[in-house]
Amino acid sequence: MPSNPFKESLISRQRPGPCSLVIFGATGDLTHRKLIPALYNLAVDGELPPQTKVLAFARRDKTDDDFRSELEEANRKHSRQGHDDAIWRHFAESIHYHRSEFQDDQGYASLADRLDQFDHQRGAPANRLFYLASAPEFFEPIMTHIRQADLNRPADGCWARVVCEKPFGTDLKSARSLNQVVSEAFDERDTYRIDHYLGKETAQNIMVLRFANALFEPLWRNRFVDHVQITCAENLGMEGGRGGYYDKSGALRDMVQNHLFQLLSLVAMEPPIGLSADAVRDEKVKVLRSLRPLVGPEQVGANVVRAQYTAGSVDGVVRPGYREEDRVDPASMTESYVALRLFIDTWRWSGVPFYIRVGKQLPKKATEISVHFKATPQIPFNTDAVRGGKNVLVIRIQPDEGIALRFLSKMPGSALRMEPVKMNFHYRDSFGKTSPEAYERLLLDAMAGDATLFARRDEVEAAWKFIDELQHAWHESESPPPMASYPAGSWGPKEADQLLGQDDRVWRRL
Amino acid sequence: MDFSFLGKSVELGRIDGELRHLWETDDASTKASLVNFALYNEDPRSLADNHQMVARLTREHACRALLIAVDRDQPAPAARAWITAHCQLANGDRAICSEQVAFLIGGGGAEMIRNVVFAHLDSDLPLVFWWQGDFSDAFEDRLYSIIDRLIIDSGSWSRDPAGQFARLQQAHEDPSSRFVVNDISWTRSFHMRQGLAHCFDDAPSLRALPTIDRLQLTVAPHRQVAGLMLVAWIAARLERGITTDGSDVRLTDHHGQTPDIRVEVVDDPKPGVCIRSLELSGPGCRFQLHHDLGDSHLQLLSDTPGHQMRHVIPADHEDEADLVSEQLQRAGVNRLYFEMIPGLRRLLVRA
Ligand SMILES: NC(=O)c1ccc[n+]([C@@H]2O[C@H](COP(=O)([O-])OP(=O)(O)OC[C@H]3O[C@@H](n4cnc5c(N)ncnc54)[C@H](OP(=O)(O)O)[C@@H]3O)[C@@H](O)[C@H]2O)c1
Repeated sequence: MPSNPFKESLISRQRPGPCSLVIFGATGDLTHRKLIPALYNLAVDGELPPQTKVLAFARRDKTDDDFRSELEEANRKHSRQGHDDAIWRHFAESIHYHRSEFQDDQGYASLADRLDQFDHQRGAPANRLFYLASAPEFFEPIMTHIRQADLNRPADGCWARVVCEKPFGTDLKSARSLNQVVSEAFDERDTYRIDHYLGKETAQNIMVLRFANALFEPLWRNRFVDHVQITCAENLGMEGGRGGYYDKSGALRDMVQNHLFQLLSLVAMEPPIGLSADAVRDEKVKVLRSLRPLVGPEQVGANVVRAQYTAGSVDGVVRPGYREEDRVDPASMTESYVALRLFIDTWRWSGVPFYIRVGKQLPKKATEISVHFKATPQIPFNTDAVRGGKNVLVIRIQPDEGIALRFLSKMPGSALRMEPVKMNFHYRDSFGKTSPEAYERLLLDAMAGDATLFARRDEVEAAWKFIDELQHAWHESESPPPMASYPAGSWGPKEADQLLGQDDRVWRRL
Repeated sequence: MDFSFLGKSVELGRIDGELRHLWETDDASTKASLVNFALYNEDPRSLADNHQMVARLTREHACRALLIAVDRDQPAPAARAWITAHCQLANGDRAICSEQVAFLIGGGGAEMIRNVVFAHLDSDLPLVFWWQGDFSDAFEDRLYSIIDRLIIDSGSWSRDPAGQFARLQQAHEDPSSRFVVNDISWTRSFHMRQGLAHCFDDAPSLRALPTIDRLQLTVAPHRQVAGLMLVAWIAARLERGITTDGSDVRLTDHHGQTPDIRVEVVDDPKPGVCIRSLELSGPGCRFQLHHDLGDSHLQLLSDTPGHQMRHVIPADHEDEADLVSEQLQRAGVNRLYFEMIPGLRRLLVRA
């Protein structure tokens, strides 16, 4: 087929062609809060490919109209750019409901018929994107049925892709088996594993900051960097029945294995040879492979702190302890907080610790990366003030996305007194606009075939390999490292402070 | 003329000090600036409109605004200046403010104007320069070589538009220049062009494209240039030549393999939107984009044998401030714009 002459270069990214998007588990929370508002906002911006069809697959009985009005209500609540009735009406016409059990052969045969009907209406076969918004235990039956119904085989000149939601496995074994299941139906290049942290503007900006500015990259190594901290703090606990899922998972598996390791990879990776998805992911996976393994309870105990919150208060509101939360086992050994000291065994990072902490019921919600530089060597300036005020570069991921640089400045006056001051860049103030939601970017990328912001199979497996050792030491060794505690509303257990204290460092005050 | 709306009147040599003073006495506000934004006009009355324009644009684009008005009638060289700030509440508490310096310059010629601009740029930030109206002798290399983004509205040119385009092209090709052009008349059809691309995103429509033999455009009479740009762009994208014979305009295939496309540009009897409709048609096929007054969206229709597709996408802005705001948001170079200009010049000469 010749290409569309009007399309070229109007916009800087590849515009995806017509597509049918099938969402498995579409009556769920994710679809209502994130996926549909994201698609609607793409439609508002004119970014949604023409003739997009959304086919919602779930088991409850509903008509198209019922389902559309449910989504409308959700969109009014969650849409970033408000809700316009005229645009919604047009967009909603493209949404259809498909009732079936995930395990029902007949349901997939009729799914295939409906997709063919859509193609017929369009006058040509279209691309197909299958979105697994179901619990992971259903990936297998869904994939098997997709394959049996031949839905994974695209028509000539089209593609068929699959998007998988987190959690992608609960350990290396289950991740491998999920990967196996998915790979039997789709090639790796057609498999898109979502990590919505990568869809955030500031996460994408890490590479730009590092590699498009001559200023930082020369300093981005052990000669100048003292250590790096990555913090992901949440000021909520197990509200809204989250305890059921969380108690089976814990901070390490829910956050570190995926989101925080993705941020770590972006901060520590070598410059990629190009901007293609694989060039970037090749470098990211090397970081995970170079993580110095922590094996056995002794190493884990010395480098990792796990903790649960006890009763306390956040922002003046009384909060229960973790084990008293709804749907949490009263004898639970699941961590609501974890802090790690990691080393990346490469030339660039030799000897530089990376400290990661993530937890629930902390004083505020904030995700950020801070790069702490070494002090200057010159004696005349190397005073106490300098030691306490080393240069720090902070990349704020959320909220209030931005970048800050702390440096020392002379205080006005006749004496040479130095104080740390801050240079602060806020996305919102400079660019005026709110950034698109992560899911908007990621859905569009999946349709356009750009996998850069998705996790590749080897990344996921390398991350689980590392995490498995920690889980093993905690839950299966004879002398597991202890579970620490911290009152809700505090900045975590004192053991985590000691982890840095041993190295003569402190956590950054957020 | 009363210029008190421009803020505090200051001597030119004291502008920086006065600006500093403005911020020192205000704790609740933050000064923000992403670009230097100069608005240049050779009519002193423009200061009022441009002041309003900056008040609107700074809601989305923090900048240091320089309003420059030239009074050609003034006999002796003289310049006056005023400073003020445009503030918006951010997050409900802190005010984010953009500084504005307004100048009224008379009798000094190109050099004086240029030096005023040079002296009051916020260092290191890019310079966006909105040249309003026809180019004059003040548009010369030492000025345009410091511009990063040049905003113009070719639809507002009153004298010899084809000649003005030649002037623009020459400046753009000058090795000393590096500016990107944002033509407001071109931005008026941005979404229309995207919409047309949408219409041919599927196989049946794309197959019908070579059979098209008619292009019809309904344009507001005072927006002819925007309409002709669209025609010139379509010709460039389809690699067609433009032949004109009196009122007859055709897009012709150099290789003679596809039919000529007969072009009709119709004045909109009920003007309200810039381009009301664009239609490409041929035997058995029709592709239509339609923008109704007051509608924020464009309606798209592709109609080929056995296949009909409808779609909506955002419509182009009509308002000048919205158009400029859109330009400030988009990066981009000018390849498509300059690719369209030779065809446009042919059409303009005929018009
Ligand atoms: N919610 C979030 O914000 C979020 C964020 C990140 C990742 N995720 C991940 O995304 C996935 C979905 O999350 P969710 O919160 O949307 O889940 P949810 O609210 O529990 O929704 C589950 C969906 O699966 C359907 N379903 C369950 N069993 C089925 C069966 N046997 N046959 C057919 N349909 C069946 C349900 O359909 P019926 O309603 O018809 O029973 C419902 O549509 C999970 O893997 C989750 O970890 C969610």
